[in-house]
Amino acid sequence: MNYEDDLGAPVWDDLAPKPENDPTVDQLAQNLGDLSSTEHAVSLEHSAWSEDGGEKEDKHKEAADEEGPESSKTLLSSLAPEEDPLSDLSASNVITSPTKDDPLFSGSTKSPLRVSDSDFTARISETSLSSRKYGKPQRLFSSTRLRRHPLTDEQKKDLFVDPLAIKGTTQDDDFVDESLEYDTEQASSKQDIMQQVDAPLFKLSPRKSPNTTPHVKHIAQPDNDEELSNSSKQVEESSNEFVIEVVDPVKVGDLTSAHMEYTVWTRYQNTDNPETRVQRRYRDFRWLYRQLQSNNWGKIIPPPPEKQAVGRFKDDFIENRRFQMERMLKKIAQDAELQRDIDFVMFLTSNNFSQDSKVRENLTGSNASSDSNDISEIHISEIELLGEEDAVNVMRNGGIDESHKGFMSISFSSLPRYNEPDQFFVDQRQSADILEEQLRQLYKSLELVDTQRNELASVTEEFAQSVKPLEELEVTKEGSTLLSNFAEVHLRLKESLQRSSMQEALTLGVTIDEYLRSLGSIKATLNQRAKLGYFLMIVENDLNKKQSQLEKLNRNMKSHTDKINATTKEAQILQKRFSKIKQKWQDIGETIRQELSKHDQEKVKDFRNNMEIFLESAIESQKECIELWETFYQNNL
Amino acid sequence: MTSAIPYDPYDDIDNNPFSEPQPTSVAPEAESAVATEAQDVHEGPLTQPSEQPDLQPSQEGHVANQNSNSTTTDQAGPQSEQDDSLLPERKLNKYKLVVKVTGLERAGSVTNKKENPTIIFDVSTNLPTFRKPQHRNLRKTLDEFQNLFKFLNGAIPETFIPAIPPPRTSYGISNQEDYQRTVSNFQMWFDRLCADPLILRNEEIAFFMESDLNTYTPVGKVKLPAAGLKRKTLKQLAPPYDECIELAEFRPLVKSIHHQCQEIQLKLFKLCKLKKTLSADENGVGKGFAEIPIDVAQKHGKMYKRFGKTLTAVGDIDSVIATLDMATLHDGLEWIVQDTYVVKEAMTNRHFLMRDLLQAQQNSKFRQEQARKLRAKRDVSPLKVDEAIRQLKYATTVEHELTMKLKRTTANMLLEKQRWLDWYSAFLSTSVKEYTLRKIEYERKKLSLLERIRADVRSADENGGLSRLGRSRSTTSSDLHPSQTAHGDSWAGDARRRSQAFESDVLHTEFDDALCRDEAPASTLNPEDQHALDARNAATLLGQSTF
Repeated sequence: MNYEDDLGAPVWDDLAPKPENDPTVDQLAQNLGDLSSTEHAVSLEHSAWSEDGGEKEDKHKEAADEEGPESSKTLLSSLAPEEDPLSDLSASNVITSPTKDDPLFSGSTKSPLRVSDSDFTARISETSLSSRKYGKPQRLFSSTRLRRHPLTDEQKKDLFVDPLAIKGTTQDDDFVDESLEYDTEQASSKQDIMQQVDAPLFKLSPRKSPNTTPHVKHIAQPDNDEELSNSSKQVEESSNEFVIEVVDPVKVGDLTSAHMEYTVWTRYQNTDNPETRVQRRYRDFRWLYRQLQSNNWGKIIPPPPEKQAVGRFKDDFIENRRFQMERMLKKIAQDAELQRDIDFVMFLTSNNFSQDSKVRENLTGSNASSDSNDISEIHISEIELLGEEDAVNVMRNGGIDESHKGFMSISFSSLPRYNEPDQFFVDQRQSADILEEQLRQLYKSLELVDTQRNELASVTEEFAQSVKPLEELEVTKEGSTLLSNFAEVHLRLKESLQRSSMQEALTLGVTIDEYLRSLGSIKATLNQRAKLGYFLMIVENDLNKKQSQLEKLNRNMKSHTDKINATTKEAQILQKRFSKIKQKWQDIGETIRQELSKHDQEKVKDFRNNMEIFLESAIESQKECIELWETFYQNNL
Repeated sequence: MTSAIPYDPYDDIDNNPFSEPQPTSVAPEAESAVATEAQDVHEGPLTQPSEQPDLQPSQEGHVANQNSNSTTTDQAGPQSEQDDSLLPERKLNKYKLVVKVTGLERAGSVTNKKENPTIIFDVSTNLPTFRKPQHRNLRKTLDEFQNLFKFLNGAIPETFIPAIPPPRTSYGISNQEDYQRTVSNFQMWFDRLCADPLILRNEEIAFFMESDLNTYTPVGKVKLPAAGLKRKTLKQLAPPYDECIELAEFRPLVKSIHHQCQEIQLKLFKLCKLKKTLSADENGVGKGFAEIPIDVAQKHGKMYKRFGKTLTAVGDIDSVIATLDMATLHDGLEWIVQDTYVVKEAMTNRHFLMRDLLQAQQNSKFRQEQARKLRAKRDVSPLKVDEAIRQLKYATTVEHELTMKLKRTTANMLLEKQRWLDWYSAFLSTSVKEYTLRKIEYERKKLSLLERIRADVRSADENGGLSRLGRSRSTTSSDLHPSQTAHGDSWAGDARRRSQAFESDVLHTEFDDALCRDEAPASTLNPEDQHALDARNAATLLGQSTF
């Protein structure tokens, strides 16, 4: 017999006259064949396994589900019959002792897979298995022993019934096994090759709804979708499903205009084009920042990395910058308002950025291209402030404060100083200044510690190296082993030092640096308010002057009506302007308050987290150090 | 006249205060050889060559027998007889000198304080060179020690004089640690000195100890075989042929140990300096953290302050560790460095001795030739003959002296070499051991400091910190036991038995006061609570490996 080819062939030698078992064996084989052709899996029932089913994904609900359970049920019941198969094994009808000519493993021996015709027909009628929740457990592998005398009915009732198998184990929770007949599946299905390529590598069985463990409280109902997205490699899932990465720095351009270009890769699940990739350079990021500042007054915009003229192409610097820019974009994407900003979307998607950016800049009058390194220096766009028409007029006249600018920016009258009426903002500004000072100090000292730790690491290595020649002299054997282990310990210490300093720099250093830059953003918002207030005062001044002018004209009978009209009109314009600016000024006050409180909370949490990480890593490296020395001591001294 | 000390025929120390330096104590057969030579000068050329080969094999015999029975008192064969007679001092371990250092004083000007302390010690001995067997509270300054040392170096070329320990340690002179260290160093030095019988016999020791404070200068003349420029030029030449292979290899070994240890010292010094600057910067970081809440009403002001203070304390501990490193290993290496130098120089002296011997041999050959030539001549003037005989006698005497001296030196040095090597490895491992122990102690202190602040940092967050991510809020008090307890570290697999004092040592640091100043007195955990069984502890206990 060729056992490889014919899977349906009975395994045991069939030379002996086949007893009633044979047709059932054939039927078994046929069943298997059926199963494979209909692409259905064998279902085995095991109450414990159905809990595992909770992890399977609910992707593919097989269409031909109805057929499956039927035939599978029959096989199931044949494999794990309700009644104890061994119960039929009584002393009376078991033993036909093999005679001399009989093959050793013949079909006459009772196999555990005893399926009898009677069983079969009986089973098929019991398809209402699933509805019976409180039926006897279907035991697959019966651990009952062979009984000389079959159990009486009374004794059967006393048999232990597995409670877990009773409740909730519906057909739906069956452990659905993968079909092993893989090749035939592919051959028979007429799937497109592209679909096949995209199809998952292994078919996962249909996952049934998780109602398996009724006794256990459901702690959380994990949503399948979120699980999916969490399992992917992307970091920073926002509530609006933005995934942004800044990757792939590439040096572009010739010697004079060389710069790095980065690829910004976005996955945005709410629009039609789910993925975009664009090339951007650092300057563009700063443009974005300025635009956002100009569009959203009072909002604390996540800050970009600092400018640097020299050392732009070093690897560390590039990596640092890339990381900071990525963080900036991610933070912007997380904020509900900012992520809808037109400029942001354009930044992420536009393929013609240089033109688009210029257009937007002109449209909003934000002056974004001229940005100083200090992100707290801001420019108030008149268009934003006053609306288009008025702004055009104003700009033609040289700005709101034109009357004070004078010829060649020499003002003849003293500029009104803006005094912030609300103490809150004054305090905030002060505290921001102080905090900045302190954080800078802290950052500097951390950097110092970092560089020194690295130096310490290298000197430790030198020290270890210098011990080696002494060890090589081999004055005494124990002395040499002692010295070599000593050197070894120092080398390991050095590595751990390097690791810890790098980690510190990456966690605490990064956070402090970011915090410092966001302080710049905070100051920018305060400056915005200050500037608005300043404009407000100027316009108020102008308005007052105009009004007094108007009054004078009105009092003076000799004045012309058109002059009066003109003045009245101007006064009205100024009035409108005034109210607009005032409104904006108040709005920005509100926004700043909200932003500041939110920002504070976040930052404090972040900071504390980093402190904890710092502390824990320090503790761990201490433990490592102690362990090293203790083992050295034990082994050598 | 009768003296208080009974006559001891086997006594080899001449306690005659009026004696003059004799040719050194020589072996009986060497004396007899000299006597026979003096008698038959004419048979000189015959006997000399016969004795030369005699001496040669006997020297080789020495080398072979050296390690076996050099200090036995039985006179087994002619060769062991020669050993013992070469080093009669080692034959009888009769003389003992016990010195106990009781104290140290630093007085005078600043430099005097640092470099010239006064050692106070007690002496008890049975050496005849001493006037009294017991002396108490002898005081000697370091300068006097150094004078003694210089003398001994020149006077006893056969042995290695231990180098004088440095006058102060890296702890700084106003430190109790420094006091103890220096005292124990000098004790060690005295012990080594007293273990060497050749040194003991020297009367200078007696003079040294019995003289008044600050008045000692060596009575004998301090002479070295070669000094200064002559020494340097002689060193440049290749060393003479040395039959004793062990000793021939020993000198370069010692020299490389010397240089290597110096290298290590340098690197160690650099390391420690760097650590000190690092600790200063860590202090800066701590300060930075502590200052954050000032003027800015932060929620967790207290946490920041404490965190900062802890980091500052950690920085302080780092600087303490650096000092300790220096004091343990660096100072230990220092002593090794100096000692190796002395050993190296002693071996160089031996080389000089060998050179002198060669020259003396050449000289006596020359005189023999002269004598022979004179014999062959007709013109025999009695004056000339007398002269030739005298010169020949003198030359051979000198040669024999030198030969014996060299033999003695070689024999002794072979012994000493082994002892020195033992001392060296023991001392090195002691230094490293101390270094390690101190380091462990202070690293553990650092750990306990860091762990203390854990609770604060974690509690500053509503969720109990990042450590509780994903876990529901349960009692967190069990997490905050210190991880180093008397029953072993919580992170190590094997439970190390430790003394009860351990916890108080490690968990309390000298910075506790500074840290606890603004804290409410923390409730100390009831020690029983630590071992109370809860589920987690039980699991941990079960999970600990026992192998």
